[in-house]
Amino acid sequence: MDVPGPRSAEQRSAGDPIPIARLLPKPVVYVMAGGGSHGAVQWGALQALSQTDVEPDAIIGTSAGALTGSILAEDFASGVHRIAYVWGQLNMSFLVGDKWLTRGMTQVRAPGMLSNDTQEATLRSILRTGRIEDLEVPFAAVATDLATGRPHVFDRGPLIESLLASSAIPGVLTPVEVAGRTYVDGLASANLPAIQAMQRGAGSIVVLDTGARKPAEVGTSPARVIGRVAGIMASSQRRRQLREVARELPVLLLPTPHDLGGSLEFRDTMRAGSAGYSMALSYLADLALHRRRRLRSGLWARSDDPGVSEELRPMLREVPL
Amino acid sequence: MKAPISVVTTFGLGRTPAQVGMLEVLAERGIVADHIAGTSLGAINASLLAAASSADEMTEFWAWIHDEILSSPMRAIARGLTSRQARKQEKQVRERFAQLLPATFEELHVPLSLSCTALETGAEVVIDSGDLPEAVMASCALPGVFPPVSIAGAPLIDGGLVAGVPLQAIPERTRTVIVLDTGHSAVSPDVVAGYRWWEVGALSYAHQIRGQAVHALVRMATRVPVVVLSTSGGRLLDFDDPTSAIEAGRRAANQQLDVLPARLRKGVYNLPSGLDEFEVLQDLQVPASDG
Repeated sequence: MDVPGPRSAEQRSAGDPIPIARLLPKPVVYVMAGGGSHGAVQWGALQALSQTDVEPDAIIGTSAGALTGSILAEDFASGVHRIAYVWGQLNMSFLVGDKWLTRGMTQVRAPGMLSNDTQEATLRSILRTGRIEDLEVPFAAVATDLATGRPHVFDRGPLIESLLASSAIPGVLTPVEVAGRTYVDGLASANLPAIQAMQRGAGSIVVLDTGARKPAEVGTSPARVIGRVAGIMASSQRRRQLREVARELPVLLLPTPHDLGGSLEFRDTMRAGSAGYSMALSYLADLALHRRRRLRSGLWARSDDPGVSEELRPMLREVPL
Repeated sequence: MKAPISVVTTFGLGRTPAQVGMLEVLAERGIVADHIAGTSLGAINASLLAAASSADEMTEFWAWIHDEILSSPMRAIARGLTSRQARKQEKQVRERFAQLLPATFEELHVPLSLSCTALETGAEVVIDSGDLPEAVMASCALPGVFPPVSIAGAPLIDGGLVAGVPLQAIPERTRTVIVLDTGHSAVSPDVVAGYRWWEVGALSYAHQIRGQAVHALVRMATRVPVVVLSTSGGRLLDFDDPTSAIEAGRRAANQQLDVLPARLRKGVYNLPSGLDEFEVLQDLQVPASDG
């Protein structure tokens, strides 16, 4: 079974809770990337962070990351447990209903193939807070303004509406109208909203990314090529976000699994969460053991993290091991 | 404008022919490119310019590709979804390139760099030597319309995906950059209200490409003057009429060059609407009254 092992002797010696807060200049912002079912990785990462002494001063998320982040923001102490129960149950039927395939085919002229009604009912069953400003931890969800293409940061107003806007996958789910403007998923402008966190005054950033799919043999058939487009654009956007922010701030990039299935498959969310937990915990323990001084600007990550591409290498800051 | 001048042709789907009108205006005003960079369908205009093709030849090419392949983008993609049809569409275009372009970059009159996207890694690949028609084909291999093109063993596709405004390849010596910008993706809110799901999807991709352009422009404009010639005329997602797009490009280029001061300084001239909402670019914008 894919179950996290007990902590090693060295990891235990890092302390309990793991002392990380002293390393991170305040305000500390958790940046939660979008990624569909890969969002389960963040469930594990948040469990690992709950074993440290860090408490976020704000949480900002896109799409699936906004959903998970909002549960934590609603009640920090219970959040990580509630998130476990959400991800333990979440699958397509909670997001688009059971008959999504047949229903999607019939919506030729609609602005989305599928309605957001099922997702809205699911969100209402999870979250009890009506407005973003009433959440316990300051929170923001990022969507894309469909007309201008700019990211829009929802930091007040109706919570559920903002989460629906942030996760309305363009072309699939129905765009969401808020105050006369049309919004789609934040993935189209800021899937990993690190720049938005910096613009809002972050002193340091903890990035909860969503990992990646197994690198399948890249086929060159038209369907495979089209299937790669979203991934290529997302990774280019992600590199840019991390590069811009790591120039100015300490960015703590928690390691994530890169052998996941498709981002709309919910079969393996438990395994993704388990990997997210173990990888984040071991990195956080190493960091606490080997770094005493506050982190300076740059990208703090495992040197062998496949999420640190060639272009990001110059900003990489390693913990001496 | 201080030489050496780099002329850059951007991503632009149905609006790409507007670059032909802009190039005509540059030629009329005696503005000559010392280096050319292109991407996506813009790579076609970039390479034709580098091969010293006339505006008439370019216009003829766009009329041809419109009638043969791109008159309905949805139909082109539907056809491209079968590998056989994608290869057939590619063969038609490739034969045309072979007639219009020299065989290699080395035979061109002006140095040219074309941006592509590596299908496997998603990295930008800049090509500036070797087989020219092959490189143009790779740079404009729109996903779903044309198949990927393998160069040096790596399958390459449309450079617009990662470099909608291909500034990566601008040489150090360049003193002025002219961007022929057809990638304007912002639309009015009442237009999106009537969009269908595939238009919502396509527009979102165009927005992502536009967002990348911002950072490329910022990096360039902190180094040299960047003159943007931009049109939002015509529709990005429709290849209706290349002739009217070319005319829109002419008009825009004339208007925007007329107000340009004689001496340029570092920064962005004629920042197009849509991009002017990005604060970082606003700071680099040179006001029209300046100079």
